[in-house]
Amino acid sequence: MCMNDLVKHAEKINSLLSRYGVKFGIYKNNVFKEQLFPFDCIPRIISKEDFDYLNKGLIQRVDALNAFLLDIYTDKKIIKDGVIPEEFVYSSSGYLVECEGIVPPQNIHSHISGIDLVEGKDGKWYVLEDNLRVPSGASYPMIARDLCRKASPQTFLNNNIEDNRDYADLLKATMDHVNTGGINVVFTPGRYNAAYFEHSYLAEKTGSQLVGPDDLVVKEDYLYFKNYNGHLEKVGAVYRRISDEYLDPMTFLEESLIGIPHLMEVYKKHHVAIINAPGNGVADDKGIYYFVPKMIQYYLHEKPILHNAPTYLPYYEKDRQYVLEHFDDLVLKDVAEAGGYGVVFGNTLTSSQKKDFIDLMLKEPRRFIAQEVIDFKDLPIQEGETIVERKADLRVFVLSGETTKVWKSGLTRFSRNPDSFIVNSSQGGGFKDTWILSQSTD
Amino acid sequence: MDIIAVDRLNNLIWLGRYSERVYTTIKTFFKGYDIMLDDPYFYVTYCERFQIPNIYKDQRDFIEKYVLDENDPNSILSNLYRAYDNCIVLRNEIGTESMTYLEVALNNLKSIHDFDSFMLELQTVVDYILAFWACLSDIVEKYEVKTIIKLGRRIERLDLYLRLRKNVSEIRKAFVLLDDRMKRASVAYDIEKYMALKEVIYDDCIDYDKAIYLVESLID
Repeated sequence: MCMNDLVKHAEKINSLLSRYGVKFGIYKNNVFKEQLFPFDCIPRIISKEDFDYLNKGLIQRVDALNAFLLDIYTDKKIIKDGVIPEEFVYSSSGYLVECEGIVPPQNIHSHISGIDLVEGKDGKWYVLEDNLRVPSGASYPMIARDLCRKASPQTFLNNNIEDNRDYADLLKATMDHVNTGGINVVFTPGRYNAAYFEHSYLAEKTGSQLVGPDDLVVKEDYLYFKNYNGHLEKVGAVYRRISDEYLDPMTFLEESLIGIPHLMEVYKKHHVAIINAPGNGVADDKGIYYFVPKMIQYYLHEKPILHNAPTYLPYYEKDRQYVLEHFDDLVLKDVAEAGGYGVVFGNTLTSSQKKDFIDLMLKEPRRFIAQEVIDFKDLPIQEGETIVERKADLRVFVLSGETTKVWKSGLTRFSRNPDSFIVNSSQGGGFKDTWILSQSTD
Repeated sequence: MDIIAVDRLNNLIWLGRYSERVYTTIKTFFKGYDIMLDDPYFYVTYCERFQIPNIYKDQRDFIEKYVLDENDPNSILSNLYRAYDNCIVLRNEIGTESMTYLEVALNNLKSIHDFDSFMLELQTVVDYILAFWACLSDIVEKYEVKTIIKLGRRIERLDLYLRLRKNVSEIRKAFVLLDDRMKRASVAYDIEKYMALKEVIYDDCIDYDKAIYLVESLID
């Protein structure tokens, strides 16, 4: 691959990213600060063959997850048939009893799914987690590609790369597909949210209205946008960028000041689509992750294409025994945490920490999962004048509308710390563009 | 009729006001700084004209803080931050492309370190604000959005000119520009105060303080 030009123009690219304000927000000591999202201009390159494989596997996985969500809030066949123990569903913090019986427009719960993958040193891809609530990050590779093409056109002339700048079109088509009649809006908690850049950028690129809680009102079972001239515009689809619990104070957290009162009543009457549907957290729970391959077999009658990272549930006696015996070789995750928090590598704990952790795990086995540590491939990162190797993952975006489509790109996040597996931006990680080659390599 | 949220209406007006404030302030500062080269105490007069408190130790302190101190609410940087804060929530209305010009203006201003030769960097801030306005005119499709930002600019310019006690002809010129925007923007304003303002501006002897009060209370 010829990307010397891109590396040569790294400074120009970073200056363009600064010019375009490609930032994310972070709270440090309760003070909101915006900072540039560190970008490494050496892309992750995925061969056409690898992408074709991932494409099939991701479509299969997301279709099964959508089938699960539809089932779990209606018939619950998968529980009745004993495939998933009911306690794993009902004790999940993502399961919302308030969503019982609701069938969303076009039967789609997860319209935008962010699936986190890593490529192992063995060449296999592993799914690390599914993000079906409000997965963020697509805007960064989207704008980075645009700016890289500007800074180094030659690179894109010399390489056969799938154009990733269609994300906004895919997203718009996804919104339009479930729109119940009215305008599309992107609902943001506001300027001081970590992902505000993304909210506003996606609203602009999809031609949706960017709205905050004060801009929307429920009237006679419909949701409206309040125009400055007093006119009310009907809303048909809400791409919400806030968590379920804050969405509607009349249904969820009553102290929420950033929600839309009575939104859930409108939603239940099929007068508006909510993207992604409330209640999806039950399917991306780290405990439920273990069961996704079983879901694929159950709903689609197919063999799972993608691999989960080998996972153990201390809830099961056999797995618990394995976790206790191999504690130092495993990574343990608190299912209630996200963003790289609540992740513990067994071999990093002191003996007293280990004892405390095991006691807690035995007391609350449903709260934890344990996984084999995947030795995932390092990727080259430019650090000053040198190239170093760092851990990186890949978030792929799968959009479910009329059909399920995988965006031919993704957010590659890398750790800037040489000893760390944690790639989250909130913990100092950076990002890369992800190239999908449009032609076979041979 | 364009779709604009109620809160965004305020942001549009204030984006216009603060971007104009930075622009007019820098242009006035250029002239003031030139006088300060010969008269080191001119900064006191400058503060009086702008009606800002003289919290500065000396001319050097004034120059550094007035340009770049983000804790000084009257500094150029503070005003540019306020323009930026209003801009950042308007991506939907004005577009990423327009925003980049204000982003660069802010980056350039923040990059000033050498106060012995900073006028050229300050000039680039003016250049980028002008480019920002030009970009708005060029690419924003919503007529209301453009008109409301311009309305904010015209209000601010007249307000500043009055505070700076500019001569009658400049004040009236600023008023004519405002008058034009008032007619075009569908923004609610106090008509009685507007008519009173017109009267004051065209009086033989302008009552500057009354005019400032009226300009400030035109729009809620």
